[in-house]
Amino acid sequence: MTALEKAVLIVEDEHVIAMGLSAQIEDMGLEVCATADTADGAVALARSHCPAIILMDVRLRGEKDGIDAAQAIYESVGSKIIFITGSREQKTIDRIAQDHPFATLFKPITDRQLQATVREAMLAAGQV
Amino acid sequence: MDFGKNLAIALVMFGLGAAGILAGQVQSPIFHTILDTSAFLTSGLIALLLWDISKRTDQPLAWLLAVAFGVLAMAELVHTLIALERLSWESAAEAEVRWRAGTWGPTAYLSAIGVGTALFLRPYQRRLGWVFAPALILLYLALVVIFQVLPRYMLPGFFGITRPTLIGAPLLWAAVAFAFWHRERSSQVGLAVAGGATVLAIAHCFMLFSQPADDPTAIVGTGMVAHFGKVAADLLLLLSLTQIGAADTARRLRAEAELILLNKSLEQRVEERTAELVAANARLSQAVDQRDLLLREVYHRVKNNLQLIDSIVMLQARRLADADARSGLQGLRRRLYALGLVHQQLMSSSDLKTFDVSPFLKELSENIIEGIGGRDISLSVRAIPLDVGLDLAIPLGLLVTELVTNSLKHAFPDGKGRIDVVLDRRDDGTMILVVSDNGTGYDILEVARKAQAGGLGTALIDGLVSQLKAIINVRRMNGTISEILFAHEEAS
Repeated sequence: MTALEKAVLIVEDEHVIAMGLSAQIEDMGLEVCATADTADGAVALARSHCPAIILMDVRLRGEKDGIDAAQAIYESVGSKIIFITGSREQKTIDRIAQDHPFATLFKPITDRQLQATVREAMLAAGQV
Repeated sequence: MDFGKNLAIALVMFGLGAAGILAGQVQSPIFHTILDTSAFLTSGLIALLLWDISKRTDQPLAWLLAVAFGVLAMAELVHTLIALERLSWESAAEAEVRWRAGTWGPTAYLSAIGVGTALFLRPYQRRLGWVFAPALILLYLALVVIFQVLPRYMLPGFFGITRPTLIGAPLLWAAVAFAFWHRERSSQVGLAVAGGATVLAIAHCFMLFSQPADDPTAIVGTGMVAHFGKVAADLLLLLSLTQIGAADTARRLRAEAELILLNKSLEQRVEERTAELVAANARLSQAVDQRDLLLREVYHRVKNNLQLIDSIVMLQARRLADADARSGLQGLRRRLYALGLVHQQLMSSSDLKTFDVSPFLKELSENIIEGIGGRDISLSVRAIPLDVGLDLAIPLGLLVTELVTNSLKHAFPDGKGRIDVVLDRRDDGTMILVVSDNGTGYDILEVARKAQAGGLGTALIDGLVSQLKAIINVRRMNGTISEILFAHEEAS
């Protein structure tokens, strides 16, 4: 496992929402290294950028979802993964729990919730 | 049972037998004994068959006839065996006349009377049935005594009749045949007896002309013809009764077979119907699952779109230099958040229609305070468990958003204080929502005049209150207390 960059990878298939998340991360003084809208893209970008934090939407374009991507990233990169999900279904929650998530946020998310969680994740990743 | 055919067979048999006997002038004592024995055996069999039929069909007539034929069989046994007896002073011929000829008459009368009486006793079977057998035996004994007194043979008289004492037997049998035909034609047993009685009536006519064997003027064989007729009649009855039993058995076997078939088809139909129901159930539950899936998807899309709008509003706010404009957009985002939270609650509820308002109000209020944040405000939310649908959750969520925001913005100049949110049901059933703070107290009208955003908030509160057909009271007492009273039927 390589050393992690103090940066955030955003995985979200709605581009406008991804833009909103990027703006909030940048407002916190953090760098957004990339955004991805598929699970495979997320894994590839995570491997090349090694971000400390990944904001991971569960629903993505394509067959695989954010939970599949998170599994691969956890095993190869080791980023702190913050899930952002629209679903509170037990099935989804159970699957997320197996993927060693740093945190799970349920939409709608307030600015405060996002900022506080990202800050905690940065601390945990040792990137202050 | 084919009545006509059976009767025809018996009459033809009787006719041929009678012709043979008369033509051959048969007068053998051995033949006589054979016929007597046959009559005894057939009568006994008839009695047993009738008894069996009465047991299986519960027919009183068959039971009474069984008794009559049983007693008759005993009388015929006596007539058969008595030929072996003779008193010490008698010659064989004298004994033949005294005993054999002497017991024919009683048996003939006994049989006709017994069978005829059975017809009339049939409605009283239970009460008179048990005296029927002894009564017949007594009648027989009386007849035996009477016939010992009466003369056996006489010189040919009216129509050449030599035994006028027997003239009642054919008449009685003819009456019995008519009575059974008239009254019991509809029953198989009744019809069989009518047939047998017809043959017996004819057979007994021949006996009127019988003469002692040693009489040279005798028409040889008339007695034997009568005996033979009696056996033919008994055989007719046996044939008919056996056919009744066989038909009965055949009917029962057919019914059993039909019942088995019916059961099988019934079982099959039950199975088919069960399978149909299971399939219908599966289809229904599939449809319900499908509906749930679609509803969840719709809520998800609505929530996603709200998030999308929220992102756009946020991106726009960042580009604005004007603080008032930015704060206006933040107010908009708070309202979008309330709507999003309602849909999130709906998505995770079990019926997808209602959810408990209590945790919703708690999460909503906490996040508003956190969102405006940076200040030392304590929050308490006390709400009774209440299942609400979209129609109530949205106005309620927006009202709480506006009232809590107002308190946060205007009640605490120094940034410290406390906000209470309470949802309760009063004794009269109306719901009450209270949002109170322990701040400085503020004038809503003043607030409305000062700030555009606050003005919108007040307008929203008015609109939502009227939508809920609610009453709002705002009091200033150690802060500001807003009470909203509204009616709500618990969702069933």
